[in-house]
Amino acid sequence: MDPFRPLLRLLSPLRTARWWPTARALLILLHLVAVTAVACPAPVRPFNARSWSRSSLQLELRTWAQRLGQVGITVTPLQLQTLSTTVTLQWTEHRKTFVAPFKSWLSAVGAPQGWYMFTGPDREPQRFVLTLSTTSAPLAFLPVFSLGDGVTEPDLVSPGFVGDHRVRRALFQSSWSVNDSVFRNVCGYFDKQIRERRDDVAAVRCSLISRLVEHPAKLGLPRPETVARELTFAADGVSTETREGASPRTTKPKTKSNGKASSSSSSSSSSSSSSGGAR
Amino acid sequence: MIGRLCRLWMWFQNHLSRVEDGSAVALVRIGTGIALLVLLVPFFATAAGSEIIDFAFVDDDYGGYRNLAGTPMMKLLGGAAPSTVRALLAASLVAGVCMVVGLFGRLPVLVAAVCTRIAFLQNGDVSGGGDALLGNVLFLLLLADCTHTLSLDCRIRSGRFVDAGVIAAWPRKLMLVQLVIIYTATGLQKLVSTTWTPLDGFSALYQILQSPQWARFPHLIESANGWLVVPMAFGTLLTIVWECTFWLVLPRPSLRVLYAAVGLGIHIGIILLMEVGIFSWLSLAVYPAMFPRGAAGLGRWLAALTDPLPSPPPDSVHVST
Repeated sequence: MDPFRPLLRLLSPLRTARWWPTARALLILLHLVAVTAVACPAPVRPFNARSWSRSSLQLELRTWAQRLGQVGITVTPLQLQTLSTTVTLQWTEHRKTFVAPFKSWLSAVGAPQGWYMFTGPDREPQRFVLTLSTTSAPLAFLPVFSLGDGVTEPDLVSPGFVGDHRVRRALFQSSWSVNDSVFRNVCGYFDKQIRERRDDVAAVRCSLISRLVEHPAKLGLPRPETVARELTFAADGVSTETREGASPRTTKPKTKSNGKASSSSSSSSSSSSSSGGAR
Repeated sequence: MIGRLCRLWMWFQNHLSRVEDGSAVALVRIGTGIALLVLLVPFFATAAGSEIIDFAFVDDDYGGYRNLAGTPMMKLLGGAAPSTVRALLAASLVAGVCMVVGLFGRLPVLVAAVCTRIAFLQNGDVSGGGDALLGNVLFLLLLADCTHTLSLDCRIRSGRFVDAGVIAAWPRKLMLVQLVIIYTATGLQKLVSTTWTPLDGFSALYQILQSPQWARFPHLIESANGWLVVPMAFGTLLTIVWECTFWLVLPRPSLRVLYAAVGLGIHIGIILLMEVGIFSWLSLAVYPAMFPRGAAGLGRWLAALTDPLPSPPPDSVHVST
């Protein structure tokens, strides 16, 4: 019942050839070297000013500086940041050249090797919150769901949907990705879905609520919440975005033409936060 | 020096020529099939699953949340339309069932590898370690005679579910090396953060399990009023030591039981406390690759249970570690 058996039978003269054990050993050795080289730890991408601005990384730098100071190595978080940027940039550049051919092989056989799993905790995660207002009370926003706190309107967004790891990943990327369009696209999806399921929706709002996690050394200390980013879609498709420390920005929806190429360019322009995105 | 290298090369070549009982690879195949079903059945069995397909894997032209027009393989299939994605996932589901029962040899492995890759890897936002591990395990299973025993193929071929004959041992060894690389690489990567070390009181798990994105019960830690600090610090220490030293299972096979037991505990903890997909299921599916002798014993026990014909004596099968 194995369709591969006839093929293997055809190849059997090859496998009995004298050179076969050497060829097989070479191929396996190459695969092992490829897997090991590509799996070698490295940052997903070199650190830049934006990635360093994350509070998780700043807290990490501060902790490293404090601990190094305790063993007599005086260094400021900013010096550590500069050093880390230089080292990771150089390491990433050298590594890229070395692993390029191996990466091609692993990509061809579908065996990627990026094992970045919970390298460090996100010390100030941004919780995705979805709210809506109705035409009868357009200024009062009612909760639909808050990631991690449950779903208030299961008819609009199902708990199974929000709880799934794929959706959680997208909601995580909404706050963590260097690509601004992820948040806008996800919000656009929810706006569309909710308007299809309920007629009296005036506005749909997505918020990223930032709050420090509890640290074992700081039990019981107050941890206030702040709105890091907020995007509100009105009924006419106009969206207003506010960010912590920035003035609100209003965007009118772009008309989508029929061609795929146009749709694609619309999506890419949304990455600069200037179009209607998924809407 | 050159002489030593030549001897090492000859040893490596001879090592790769070894054969062994096929039960360990068969168990990896069955485990991977089960993990595939855990991943795919909810897509078809629940309304939320169907929504997730549309959200994550369908192009925004058809209702998805983002543009997925750029993947060459998906382009060949006409784009990430709902019907195309559902067909790919359905094919993977059928392949998963075939892998569990051991039907059609390596064909379902190939189908699952190709279909899941096209469907899942087109959207990097929602793809993670589980998908990467799935690709790796399926590739390695494709290299092995994975339905040689403990399969319907075996039953059709020989009239028995268990075949005590031998298969090449190197694909199983590659699976083991892959597992070692995954755990060691992720462990070493963690050392950049003070939270995985005594520098920040082994506080990583305490903080990670408050994440609204990944934790199943993000308020558990907060509501415990601090009494989880010590258990979580112990869990963090155990995890980092276990990951960074997992490579020891290669030179010291006697340690495998210990490392597998700790790994089982850690992965069950992940499954219960976090929502991160099938990574843990798949990792556990590869564990039989650590125990070729144990798997062979299980195979013989199953043979005695299911087949009226006696199995050949165990001594006739050479099992490598």
